[in-house]
This record gives sequence, structure tokens and C-alpha cells, in this order.
Amino acid sequence: MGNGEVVRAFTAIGAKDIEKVWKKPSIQNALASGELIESNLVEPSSVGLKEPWVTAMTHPLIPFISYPYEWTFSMLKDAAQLQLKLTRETLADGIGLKDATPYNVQFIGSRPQFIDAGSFEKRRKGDPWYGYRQFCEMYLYPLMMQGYLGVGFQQFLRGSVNGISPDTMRKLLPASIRHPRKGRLTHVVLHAAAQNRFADSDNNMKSDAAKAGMNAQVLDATLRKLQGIVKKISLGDKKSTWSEYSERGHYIESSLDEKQKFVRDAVASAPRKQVWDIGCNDGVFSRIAAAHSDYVVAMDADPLVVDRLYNTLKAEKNEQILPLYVDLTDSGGGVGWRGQERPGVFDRGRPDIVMALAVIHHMAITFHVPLASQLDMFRDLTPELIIEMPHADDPMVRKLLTNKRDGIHDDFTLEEFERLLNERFTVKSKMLLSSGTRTIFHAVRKS
Amino acid sequence: MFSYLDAGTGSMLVSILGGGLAGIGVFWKMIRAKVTGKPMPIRDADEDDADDSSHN
Repeated sequence: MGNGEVVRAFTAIGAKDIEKVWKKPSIQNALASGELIESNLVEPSSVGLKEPWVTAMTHPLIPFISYPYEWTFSMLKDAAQLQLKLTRETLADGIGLKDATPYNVQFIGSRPQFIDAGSFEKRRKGDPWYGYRQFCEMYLYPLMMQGYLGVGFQQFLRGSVNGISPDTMRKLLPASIRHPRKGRLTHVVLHAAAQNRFADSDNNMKSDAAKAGMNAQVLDATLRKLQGIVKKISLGDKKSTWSEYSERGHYIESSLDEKQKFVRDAVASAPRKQVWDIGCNDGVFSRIAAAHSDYVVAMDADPLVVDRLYNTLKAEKNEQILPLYVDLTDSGGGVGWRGQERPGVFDRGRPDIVMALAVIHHMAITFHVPLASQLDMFRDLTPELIIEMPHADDPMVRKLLTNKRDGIHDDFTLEEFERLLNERFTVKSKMLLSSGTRTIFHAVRKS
Repeated sequence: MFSYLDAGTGSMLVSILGGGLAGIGVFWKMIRAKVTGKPMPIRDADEDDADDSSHN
């Protein structure tokens, strides 16, 4: 809606679900705590809706929609814990959740929030937990993959909107005597075997389970045990290329101070609703931007670096900086039904200003994205840009060029960069950092 | 690989087992009924509340 709200409408069946559960204490507690998104029931006619809509609900806008494959291990783990907590608490009130997908969770800064208020329904006695398989495929297995194997889950979730199947997970996750993998036997091996065994079964398992005494206590026990498993899965491999390294190590102290001042002045020069910090590393410039804007999306191509930032922000209860794992050279998009279900990162937000500090040389030299193409991307993305250009003699540039074929990056020069920048942007200010090997620009897009 | 054939029968079974002792009791009754061929008695609690909620 134009007033900054999201409207969700329900047909008669959905309205009946909502009517039965909405006043329950567990739902009201989740709303009060912010674990469930603020939701206001309204008459459909009040928001311009007619039949077949029977009930409508309004929600505030999420500042930036992110997807599980852009989250880090700790983010997915926190989202999983929120999912299990809400499922258990509502179960005690006779409420069932229709599904268990992390796409129903969004992060407000570092705080996870459940956004699918329409997922709740009155649980019928004997009902199983309908979201169990989805929970395994989209939460548990990705966490196991990273925690037990040290393999990042993001590319798997990005590659399949439905996550990792039990059969695939069984093949990927062997038993280990030295490092027992809690939950593997039941939730992976047995799950895959049961899936295969009953693939073409016409058994009415739901009815059989109900007759055998399936009840909320059994489900609660399953949920409680899953909470224990998720809690114990920890990030195994905690080192990456950049996690033990800050490019700022190359700066002399005065360079860092003046760069911070430059960024502060540029961001504070106008009101900002949303700032993107591309290549955020430990978030020091995201924090500067946050002091002068409503919301900062902090992106980095190293998930472990982002995970560390997330945990720091979480400890501070920071709801203004959203840390995301995004590799701009391979950011994904067009996932799901008709390639439109999960749009790419560039289609989900419009920053007022973008910061690209200590980034473009990595994209240019390591990933061979020409400077012109990078600047085209920035021109399409943002009306204002703060960008740092390391010169050809910068220590990091020399390091990146070490094993490259001679001559292929001869155009990576300050002069060429300025020429390309001036074609697309008007430079408002620029500064040569004290190190003498980097220049930072504040530029405004040419109309 | 079979997931598209099956909406979750096997998953449902494992979700019961995942509850540990509480689930094993239910699971055992289901297996016993299958092996002996004797239908399980319908519990009073299961007969009510058959509303028409939908599932995604």
C-alpha cells in the first residue's frame, strides 16, 4: 500500500483459521515480544478489497527482504530456533503451524522475526507436525552441513528453493565416530529411508498415527529434541580468507581516521533512508552510516566475516544494520517458480547511497569484472556513491596481481577509473588517503 | 529423488520417532497394528474437531 504497509487478505478458509487462533496467549505473546510481525486485523473494505476476501491484515514494511541463502550460519540457526520456539509455544495452545520455511522469517537488523501470520491454524487432534520435513530440508540439514562438514549451505539453498532433500543429505553426511553427528541417525538416515520406503505408499499414515495416540505431547517431544540438536550444532570452520584479515591492516592510522571522516561527511550530507555497505567486513563503516541513516544493509562476500559481524550486532541488539552474505559477482536471483519467486538482491531495495570501500579491486582483478561494468552497476543501483579506488601501486593490488598474466590488468589505474567514473557520476569530493595509494570519491549520478 | 511422489508419509513417521520415548510408543502401536492386522481402536479424542483447515 502507499502508506508503507503490507496488506494480506484471507479467503473464508484462511479467515476461519485466523479467527480461531488469533486471541490465544501464545500468539498475543509473540506479537508483544516482536517475534511475530506486528499484525492488525482490518475489514477488507477498509483497505479497498472486496470478495472473495473475508478478512485482511496489515503489517509494517520490512526494511529489506533477505533470503536464507544470504544469511550466515548463526542467522539461520537463530531463525531455526525462533521457528521451533513459536511452533512449541503455539502447540501448547492447540495451534499448528502449516509449514516451517525460513522464508517466513526476516531479520530486522540482527533480530529475527516471523512474518507469516497466516501460517497459524487450529490444530486438529492427531495432526502431525506438517512442517517437519520442510524444517529438516531448509533449516536442519543446512546447519548440519556447515556445522558438521564445514561446507557453506548458502549455495545449496540458493540452488534449490526447497532446500536439501533427506536422500541428498544422507549421501552427503557420513557417520563419524570421532565427531558424533547428533541427529544424523533419526533425522537424516531414517528420514531418507522412510521417504524412500513410503514414496509410493497409499497408507493413511496420519489416520494411523492418530489412532495410535499421536498427540501434542509427542510433537512437543520432537520439537524439544530438535531444539537441543540445533542448539548444539556449532560453526566448525571459523577461518576464511578474510575472517582473520582486515584490509585496514594496510592503512596507517591517519588514513583510517580520514577515511572515516570522509564517509561520515558524505553520508551525513543528506537524509538517508537506506545505505548499502558493499564489502562491509567488520562493519565499522556500516556503523558510521547507521548514525546518519535509517537503515544499513551491510554485505560481504565472506560468510564467516558476516557471521562475526552478525553476532556482534546481535549482542548489541542492533536493529539498524542488516548483515548479509552477498557476493556481487555471483549474487543469484530469479529463483523458484518461473524464476520470479525470489528476486535478486538488486531488485529488493533502492539505496539512497552505496559505499564500496576496498571492494572494486577484488572484483576487477580476482573476478575480472571490468571497472566500466562495475560503475555501470553502481550507476543503475544508486543515486550516490562513496567509492575507494586503490592505485596500481597499492600493496593489496600488487598482491592480487602477483599470479596474474602480465598486462591483462594494465587498465586498472586511477586515471582510467576517474575517466570512467566521470562518464557516469559527478564527483562531489575526493581525497587521497595518507597512505598515498588510495583515493576515495563521493559522487552523484548524472541524470 | 522420490520427494515429488510423496507428500511426506515417511517424514511424518520419522517426526513421530524424533520425539524419543513418547514417539516410540505411538510408532510401536502403528507397527503392531500393521503386523497383526488388527485395527487400532479409535480414540475418543480423535473423533472430534474435524474442521476444514487448509495446509500449505
